[in-house]
Amino acid sequence: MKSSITRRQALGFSGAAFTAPLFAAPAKAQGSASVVVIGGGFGGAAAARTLRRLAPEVSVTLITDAAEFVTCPFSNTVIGGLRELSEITFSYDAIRAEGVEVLVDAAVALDPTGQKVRLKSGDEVSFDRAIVSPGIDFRYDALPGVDETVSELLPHAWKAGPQTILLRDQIRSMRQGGTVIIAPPDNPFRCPPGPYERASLIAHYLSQNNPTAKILIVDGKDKFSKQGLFMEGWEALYPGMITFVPFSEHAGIKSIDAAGRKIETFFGEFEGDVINLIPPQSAARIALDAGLAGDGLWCEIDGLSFESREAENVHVIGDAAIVGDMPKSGFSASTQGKACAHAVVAMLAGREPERGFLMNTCYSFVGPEYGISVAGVYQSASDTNRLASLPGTGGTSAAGDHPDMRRDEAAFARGWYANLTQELFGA
Amino acid sequence: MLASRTKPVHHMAIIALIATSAGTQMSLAASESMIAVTAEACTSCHGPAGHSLGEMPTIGGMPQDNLVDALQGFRDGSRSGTIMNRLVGPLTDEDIAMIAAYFAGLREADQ
Repeated sequence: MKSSITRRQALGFSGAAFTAPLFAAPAKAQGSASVVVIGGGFGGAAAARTLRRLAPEVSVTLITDAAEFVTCPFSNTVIGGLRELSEITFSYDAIRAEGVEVLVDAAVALDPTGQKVRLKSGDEVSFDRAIVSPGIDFRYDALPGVDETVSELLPHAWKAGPQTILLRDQIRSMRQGGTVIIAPPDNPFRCPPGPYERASLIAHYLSQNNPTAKILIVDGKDKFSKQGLFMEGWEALYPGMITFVPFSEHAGIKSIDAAGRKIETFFGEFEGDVINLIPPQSAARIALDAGLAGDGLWCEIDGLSFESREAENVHVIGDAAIVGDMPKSGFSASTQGKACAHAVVAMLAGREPERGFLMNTCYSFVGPEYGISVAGVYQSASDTNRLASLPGTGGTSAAGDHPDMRRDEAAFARGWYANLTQELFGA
Repeated sequence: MLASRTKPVHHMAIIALIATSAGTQMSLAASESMIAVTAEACTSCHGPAGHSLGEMPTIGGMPQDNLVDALQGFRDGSRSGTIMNRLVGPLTDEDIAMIAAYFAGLREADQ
C-alpha cells in the first residue's frame, strides 16, 4: 500500500527548522499525551515498556505485524540444532498486561505532519510522538535478476521465523559431503557478526552429522566483525571446514541461478547444495515511505533525543536508524529504546533529555561452549549529539584466550539472552 | 547532568558524600535521570531491576560497597572479567558511586 504523504512533504521538516526551539515548546499536558511505537522487536518492546514504567499517564500503543516475536539473536542456535524455534519465540502478553495497547496489524503509512499512522486494517492511530523501530527490509533490487521469491529456494533467514526453519531443514537434508554457501552483504547490515556465528553453528551441526561437508562464505566485503576470533575458533573446532572468500577474490555477484543453486561472480562460479543468500538491506519500507531516510537508505537521527532529522515528533531507533557508532544489533536497539523512552518523557514535559551512557554487548557462539563478545560504550557528543564510541572502551574478547574464557563467555551469552528477553517480554 | 570528566574528582569528597544518606539523596536527585538512563543499559544483561536469571551476577540489592569495589576493580584492571573491563572505562568515581547506590537500592519488586 502506498504512503499517503510524499517524501517531499516529510522533508519539509528537515534541517535547522526544529533544532533550537524544540525544548522551548510549551509542555504538553501529560494526561492527554499519546505515543505510538511502530515495531514489536527489541527496540519497540524496550521503548513501550520503559514508557509505561516512567510515565503511566502517557498512553502507549505498540503496532506489530505478528502476534509473536521470534528473535534474530539466538536464531543461529536453531539453525545449528541447539534450540527449538519455540524457545526463541515470545508473546506480547506481558507487555499488554503492563498497560500497553498492542495492535497486531501492519503499519503501512506514517504521516509525520498529520501525526497519525495508517494500518493495513484501515484503522488510523494518532500520536503526539511516534517511536519508529521497524527494523530492516531487503533490497532484492540490488541483486541481479531475482526478487523476494528467491528466498523460498535460497533462504535469507535474516528475519527469524519460517525462514530460520527453512534454512535449518535444508541443511539437515543436504547430501553427505555437500556444500553450504553463505552469502552475506556489504556493510551496513543487521547484526554484523551474525553470518559468521551462523557459519560456526552450521559447522557444529555438520561436524556431528555430515563431517565431510564444507561451508563457503562468499562475502560482499573483505573483512568482517570479530574476524580474528572467529577464524581462531574455526581452526580449533572445525579445521578445514569453513572457507572465507572475501569480496576482492570474486568482485561481486553477477547472476544467481536459484534452482541450480549457483552463484556466478565476476571471478568465477560457486555451486552449493544449500545457499543462504543474505541480501543487502535498508531501513524498513514504512520508514523510507515516510521520508525518514531522506534520499538515503537509513534514517538519520539526533543522538540525544533519537528524533528524526527529517520529521518533528518522530523518533527512530534500532536497525532502521544510523545511531552514530552503535552497531545494528538487537541489544543496541533495546538500549536505544529505553533511552528514547526517557527522552520522549522528558520532551513531553518540555525538558531536555538526559545524556546517559548507552551500551552494546553482543555475544557470538563459535561453538556451543565457545563464546566470544564485542562491547561498546557510547555517549552523545555535547556539541553535535552524535552517539560516539567513548575512547578506551569496548572492543572484543582477547585473541588466544584460554578455553575456560570461551566457555565462560558461552555461559554469559546464554545469561545475556535470558535476561534481555525476560526484561523485554517476560512477566 | 553528567558528572564532568574534565573536572578533577575528589575521591575523599565522594566517599564522604556516599557515607551519609542525606548526601546520597542529594547526589541522586541531581543526576537521577542520567543514572537511570545509564542503568538501563546494565539491566539488559543483569536482568530486570538487576536480578539475573543467568550467569551474570544479580546486582540489584547488592551492598553498595561491594558494587563500588567491583566497578572500580574492573576499571583499574585489578579485577578480571570477560566484558565488564571493557564497559566501565569512562565512569568517574562519582558515576560509580551513584550507579552503586542506584542498584544497592533496587529490589526485585522494583522492576
